[in-house]
Amino acid sequence: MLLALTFLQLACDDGLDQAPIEENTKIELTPIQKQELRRQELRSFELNFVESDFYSVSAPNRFNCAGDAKIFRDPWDRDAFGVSKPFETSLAHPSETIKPAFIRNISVDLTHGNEEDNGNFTHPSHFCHRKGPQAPPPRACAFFDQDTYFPLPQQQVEGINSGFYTLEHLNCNGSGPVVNQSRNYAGGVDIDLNQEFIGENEEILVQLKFFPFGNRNLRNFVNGTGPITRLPSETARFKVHLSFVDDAVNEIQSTFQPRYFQYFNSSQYPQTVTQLINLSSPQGFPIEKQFTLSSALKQRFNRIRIERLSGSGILVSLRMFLMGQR
Amino acid sequence: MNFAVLLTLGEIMVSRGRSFAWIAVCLILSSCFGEKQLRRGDDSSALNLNRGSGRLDFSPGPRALKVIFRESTSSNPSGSFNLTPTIDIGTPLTLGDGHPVVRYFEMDGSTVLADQVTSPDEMPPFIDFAEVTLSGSQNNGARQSGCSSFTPPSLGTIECKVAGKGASDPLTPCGPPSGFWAINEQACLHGGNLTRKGNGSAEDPVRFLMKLKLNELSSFENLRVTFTYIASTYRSGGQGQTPISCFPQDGNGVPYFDLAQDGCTDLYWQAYVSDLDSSSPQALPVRTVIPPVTSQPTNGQITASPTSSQVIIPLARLREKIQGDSVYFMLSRVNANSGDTTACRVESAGYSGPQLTALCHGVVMIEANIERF
Repeated sequence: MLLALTFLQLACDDGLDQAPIEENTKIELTPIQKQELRRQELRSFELNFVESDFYSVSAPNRFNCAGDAKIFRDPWDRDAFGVSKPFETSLAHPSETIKPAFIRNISVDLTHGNEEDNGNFTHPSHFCHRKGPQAPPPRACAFFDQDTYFPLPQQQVEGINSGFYTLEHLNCNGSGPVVNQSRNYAGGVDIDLNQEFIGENEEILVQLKFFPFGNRNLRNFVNGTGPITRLPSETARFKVHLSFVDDAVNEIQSTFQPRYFQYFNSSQYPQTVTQLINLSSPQGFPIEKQFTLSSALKQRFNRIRIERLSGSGILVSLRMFLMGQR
Repeated sequence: MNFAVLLTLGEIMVSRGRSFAWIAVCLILSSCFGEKQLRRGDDSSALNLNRGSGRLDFSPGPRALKVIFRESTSSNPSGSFNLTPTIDIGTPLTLGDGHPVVRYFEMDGSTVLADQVTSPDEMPPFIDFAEVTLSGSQNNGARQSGCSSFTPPSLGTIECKVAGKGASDPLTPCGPPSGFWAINEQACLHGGNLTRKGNGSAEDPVRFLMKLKLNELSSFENLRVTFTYIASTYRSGGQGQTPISCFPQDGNGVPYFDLAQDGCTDLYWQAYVSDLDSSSPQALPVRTVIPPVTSQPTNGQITASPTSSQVIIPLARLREKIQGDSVYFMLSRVNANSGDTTACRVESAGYSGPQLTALCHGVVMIEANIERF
């Protein structure tokens, strides 16, 4: 009996779009099913945009794709460095933590999944990068800024080696999805929600900590020269829009990078709220923004996209709280 | 796969009886194909999410009020604080021993909603007490007087020399607004009594704090606190110029982000929620309020622009984590960098006080709107 239920639950998990579990006191739940119930009870999380918390180009997911979040954290519990502690390890997917049931997937765009490793070996995520003549070249445009990725191809500026998800405007040439705006719209974060686990009258609080660069910030070395002031064109212009994406989670997680090419198609994935909030801050300070998604918008979206229009910056962390049923 | 499932179901029905099998069938159908409604016995944490109440019953008391970070008298009320004592000894860091909020205002900013002396019954029931800490000998984390204080009227006329101005050019007015709570970083960072960093604990030396009584708030209620303030730093390049200093590494070489690192920002203020009454209190950083700074002395001028930041506190969610009936909300000065103090300094003739004002480098807190929603 238990074996059958476990088997069935695993079958249901196959597409990773979770179905709620009912607990019945007459049936003993398996550890995976108990964990699924704990997942359904999670009403908040924190995500750090550091590479080790995501599937990476050198350690991609089971579809050989990089960019999906794998470590979700408890915003209420912090270690000695002030970093939030991870949730428990997923029994169904041991390389991940559990994530709240109201989250289907969180993914960042990556533009360097087809880079070469030391000129010879190609990273596993190469197989999950767009192919063909329209495939953009590997660029340090939207990437986790680690020195292990350098040297990237010529003519690209270096980041600051922060280890965090970084958007470098000058490296985005040829990366964007729009003809004649080839640097724009490249890079961002997709947060896919399962509205079934969000109350009908429940608001969502979203907090984003990030470093939007301006022309007062310094960029690291360029071609052996010292740090230089960033150009006005590098001033961060980020925004949040809402859309509908009904693809199954395994479809999202197997979508080739950079994923904005797939989801930029507004006829297939309509933007229902084109600009929820503008995140720009031309002064170049690290800041934290809070914004809420009211229940009035509930029927209008299942994806929150944090989008880079243009410019440079670093995303640090994301927190989400379900604000309570009313 | 379906065949295997049906086969297994058949085995269940044979071996355990029909009713038990029906439970399994319901579970399976619900899990894979059925309605997506959560149930978990009678557990109070059950998430019957699709049940809208239709009507919200807020607990009694004002749902919107204002704290004005200014000292005044009851007879001529223009601020939420009484006048500070003439002897500048600051306040101890014991919870409840700070300089208290004794007056709340309506949102119009002029009508007194409640006064601890003249209308004590009108004080908001969900706030046990609210206070700011002042620097001085009683404050063991900020002993330098003038670091955290209410601006005396005598500073209203001071003038500064700001980098970018010629030697013969006139000075620039730089006195902070009279009577408001001002944090002058020259006093905090210089001299023999360096002000300690904050981290959301009871020992944070420069802070605004409210003790909230959860049993005076309905379970669904959240709070929004909107601070209006001036945050100014004199460094021409300014904070955030070299972002790498904000990204240290932990013991395992994993980078993390820390605004409190020296060199990361010139000013860092953070809103926290914490359970300071517990035996092992934890502080949840709710939101970074400063940076950004909003005012920078530059090109010989000081443009002291007030700005506002909303802090949303998910109290309804927080109740699941907090033991007890109270929780503390705190806006705390975490850290500041000193830098080049010559870029903006007081040079008024005959002036003998600190050469830097909060408008050169520091914070002037104006007001806080508090809303229950």
